[in-house]
Amino acid sequence: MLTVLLWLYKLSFQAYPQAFRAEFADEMEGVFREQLAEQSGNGHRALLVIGFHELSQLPVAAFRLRWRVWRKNRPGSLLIRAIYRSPFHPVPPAHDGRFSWWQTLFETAPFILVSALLFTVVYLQPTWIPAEWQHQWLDFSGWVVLFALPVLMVGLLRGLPRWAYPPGGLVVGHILFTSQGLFYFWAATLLGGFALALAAIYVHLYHEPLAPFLQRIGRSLAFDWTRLSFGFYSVLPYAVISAFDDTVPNNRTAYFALALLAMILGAVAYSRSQRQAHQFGVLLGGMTLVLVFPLMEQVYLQNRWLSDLIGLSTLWAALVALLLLPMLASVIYRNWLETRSTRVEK
Amino acid sequence: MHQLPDDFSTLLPLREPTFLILLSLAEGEKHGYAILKDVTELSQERVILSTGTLYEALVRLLDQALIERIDTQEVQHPGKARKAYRLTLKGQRVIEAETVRLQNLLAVARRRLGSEGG
Repeated sequence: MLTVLLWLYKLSFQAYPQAFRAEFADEMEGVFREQLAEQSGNGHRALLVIGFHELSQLPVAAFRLRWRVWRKNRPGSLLIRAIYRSPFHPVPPAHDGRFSWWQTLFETAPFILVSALLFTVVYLQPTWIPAEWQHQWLDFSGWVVLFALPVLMVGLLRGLPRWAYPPGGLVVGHILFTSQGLFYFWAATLLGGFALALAAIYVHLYHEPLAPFLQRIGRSLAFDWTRLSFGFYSVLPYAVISAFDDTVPNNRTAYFALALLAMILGAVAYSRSQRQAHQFGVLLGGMTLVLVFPLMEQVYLQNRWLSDLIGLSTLWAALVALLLLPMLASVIYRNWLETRSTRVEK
Repeated sequence: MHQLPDDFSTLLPLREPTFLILLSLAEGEKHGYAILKDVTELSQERVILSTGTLYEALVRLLDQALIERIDTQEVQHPGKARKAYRLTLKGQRVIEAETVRLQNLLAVARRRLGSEGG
């Protein structure tokens, strides 16, 4: 009986944190042995009572110890380590003129132009705009791509400077949002393809001589991961259309315009921000605001806003994932670089 | 009304097992088993600690620098001195502060119950 109880007692140590076990296990076992020795004359029942008592208090004690270890280690060291390892760090001014207002205007032009177009379609409804655009909003995205694609191509040839990312986002958004039923299929395919392409560029950038313009694209991607997030932020015009889709065009409230304004302000704030954490923050904030306004409109119109809340939350989560993806790719890349340099040192 | 000896607002009030452990060590240094038995006795068998609960509390008190761990002359395992625990000055002051807090509480309760009763 004693042997079994002791064996079980030692087994229960696994519930405690490793450092605690290393420091106190022997001592605790000694105390437990003394308890058993004292009760050994009182029969098996007395021994079992000690064993059950120990077992009953084990979960709480183990949880408290593990919680304390977690609190001691995680919030401080792990967070700081994550910040240092993650791409959230001050970046030098971009070689493509980050701090120029002209640059800002150029970078945010796609948002301003698309917003102006949407504003015209929705509120002004001129005759020169095809009537079907007012009812089948996504039809006009084909025209947007027609203008965005050449800009993207020029941008790619010039080594993908930051202004080339929003047109890229508009093309991606067109593919994602015009295949409504297949949204998630397209999202998965695109993201998977993107991750593979990114990995290929990152890896080959330092191993094999690529064409100079591909090298420049690789450098642009590696220089600042928020550029890709900025590119993905550019799918927002389609998200706005999709989010406001349920409302009758002729009964449009000011919330639509506010959503467009929030989108533009997010892009401008991104362009003017100098730290990556701020840049990511304004993109996330702008995107969230953009999706809050359709909900507000539904509440204002006293429509079924609860179901819209679920739909918009899903859309929001998918877009957050898109924004986060470049950061994830960057973290993986940095870790890979670190591992590689460690191996080389060894 | 008694004054608290020091500001230990972040540490007080103590949980009953913690208070009993500190009270047990107020008598002098003790090893784990002696604390376990003393706590049972002090609480008149209301608080019976398992070794896990005892050592979880001891680790917390060590972290808070209310107690310290010392080697004794006894040998528990070959080559390893048996460990004992004793109050630090801070621990001493915390238990005094907790005692004063409890006394104040008791005085208030007595006054209220006494006045209501009489």
